[in-house]
Amino acid sequence: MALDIQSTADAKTARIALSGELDGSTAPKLRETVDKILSGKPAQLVLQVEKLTFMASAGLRILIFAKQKQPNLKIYLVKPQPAIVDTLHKTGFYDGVFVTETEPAA
Amino acid sequence: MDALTLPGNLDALGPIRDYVKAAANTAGLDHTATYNLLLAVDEIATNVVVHGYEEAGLQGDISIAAKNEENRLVVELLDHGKSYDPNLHKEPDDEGLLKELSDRPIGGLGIMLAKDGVDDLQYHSTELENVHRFIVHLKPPAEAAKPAPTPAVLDDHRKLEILLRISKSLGLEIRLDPLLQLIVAEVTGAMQAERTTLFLVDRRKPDQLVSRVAEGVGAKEIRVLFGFGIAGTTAKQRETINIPDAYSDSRFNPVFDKSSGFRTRSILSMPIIDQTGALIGVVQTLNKKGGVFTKGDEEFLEAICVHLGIALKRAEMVDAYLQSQIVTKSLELAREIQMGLVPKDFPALPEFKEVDIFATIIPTFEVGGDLYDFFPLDKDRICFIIGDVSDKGIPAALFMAMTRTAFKMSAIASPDAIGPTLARVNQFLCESNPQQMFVTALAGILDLRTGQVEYADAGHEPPFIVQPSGAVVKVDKVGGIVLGFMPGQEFTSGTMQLNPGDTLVLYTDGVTEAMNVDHELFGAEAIEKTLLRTGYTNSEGTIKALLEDMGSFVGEAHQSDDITMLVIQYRGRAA
Repeated sequence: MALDIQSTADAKTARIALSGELDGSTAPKLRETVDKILSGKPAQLVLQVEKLTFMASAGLRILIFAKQKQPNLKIYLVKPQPAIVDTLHKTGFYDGVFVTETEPAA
Repeated sequence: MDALTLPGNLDALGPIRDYVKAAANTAGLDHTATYNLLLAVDEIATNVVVHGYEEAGLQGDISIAAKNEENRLVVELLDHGKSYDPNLHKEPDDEGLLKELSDRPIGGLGIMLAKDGVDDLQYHSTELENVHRFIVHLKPPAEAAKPAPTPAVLDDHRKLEILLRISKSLGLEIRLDPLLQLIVAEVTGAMQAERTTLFLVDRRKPDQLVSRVAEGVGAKEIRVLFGFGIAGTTAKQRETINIPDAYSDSRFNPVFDKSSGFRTRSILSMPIIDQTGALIGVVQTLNKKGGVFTKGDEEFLEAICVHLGIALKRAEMVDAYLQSQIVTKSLELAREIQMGLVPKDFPALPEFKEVDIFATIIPTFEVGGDLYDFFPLDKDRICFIIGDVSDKGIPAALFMAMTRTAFKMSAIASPDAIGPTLARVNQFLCESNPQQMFVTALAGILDLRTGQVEYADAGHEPPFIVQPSGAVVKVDKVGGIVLGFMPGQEFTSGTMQLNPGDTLVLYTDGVTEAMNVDHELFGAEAIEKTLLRTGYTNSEGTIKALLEDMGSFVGEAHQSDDITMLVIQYRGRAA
């Protein structure tokens, strides 16, 4: 079950659209994408996750990775599925990211 | 469902989730329970692949099997990698979970999600395989907890089967902690109870029980005095206690229920006795599902306890052995740290052409109480010390580290005179010396321009000077009292003159008191003889000659004291 990653970035906002399943086998690819996209020092990272059907702790570790790489980064999760929101709550990540139903202004 | 076996790498994760999804579907789990189970299995499978196989440099398969058992779905994940017990791993605590994302520790989340995603996560590991069992109740627990009208009765055939399995799995597990986890999980399952607590007799306080594994209580330790509460009464009277309603029994202490939010109903508490008849502990199982514990349950638990007694006794012995291995390993590390405290790179101080310094230290045990050090005070002066703590082993090593550090800091802080430096070290050691240890030492400051050494002595062995002609002179030093003995002691300094080519030989009493099999000592005379025979050479050659002569003198005898030598050859300063 693959993970499809589409990314675009402008000076302020990096956007990554994910669809599929994010687990230990697909996380390294995403981490690489995040690493690359953060080298442009965007102010916010917008993850479009409506079509992400599964996220393991490997996905959470990428959020930590992004925050450690750039502590002032704002991370948005747009339209996460309820199960993923549940995981964010259980692990205390919900307060560290912005969970929204709509894309933030660029 | 038939088991699925895959190579143990990350590509297995997707197919494993597909398998679990199908099993959850067949069992009729709802969407949330299915996702949580998927997540739990995925996290553990990831750990197995990453920690059990890849990081351990191992390769092997990972298998998954699911089965419906009565009112639960049991998924078993099997591997042959390095054992990775999720129950022994620290989960992020509340504090960790509240931290900013950028400050958070990266580990532990997966295991937390895994445990959280199922009703029970069991683990056991044998030499053959590691097994993770994920258990999901198919009925909501509230409904299952309602007392059923008739007590569930196990038929003899099933009991026998469980007993055989317990005996087999206990037989394969020799390490104490995993064994305890296994026992508790097995007893809860076999007794159809909700929780089990295993208490062991505290080896240091043999009238107390201490909980080793308590389901639902986390890492909190419960301590029970013999004769108190249900467990304590079981231990004291060495008799089984079967209580159908805990709250109507005066021996029951409801404080644990209050703190854990658990509601105890029925209790079966039984002593575990080893083959010699000694009490090892108490096993207490709580809340028989759908009723109370019967006479049949008592007999069954009794049969299980026989196996527990044997397995526990054996595991305690293995544990004691492993502990001694850990101590050995710690000592090796301590030795490395201690050896890192003294300068070990030779040629030493290469920027100072006026001196040629060599030193050696050979502790009797892994760590020792001897010390030496040397360091420049400025471009014209080098400070040095050799010392010997009155004891050996770890206490001496700690005292040695204190002495060495105090000396260096004191010498650098006020580098003008050596007497006051030793006085400060003495004061410091006197104030922090509960074991009444002391240190003999000889310290000095060598002026590289003149060859003059200002030294102070604290009851140490007199050094020798080897002259370029090959002549050997024993230094008639100004004496002083040992360090750490008398607060407020002052140290008078003396001077000795090193002419270009003169070699100052310092040593500890491990050299003079090296003993052969006939209990004869090497002695200062032998040092002098060796120095005379060797004649004029460099600092390293001097130490090598002394070690060789000592070696042939001592022969087969065991080393009885730490051996340390520091040799400083003054070469004069080029005009």
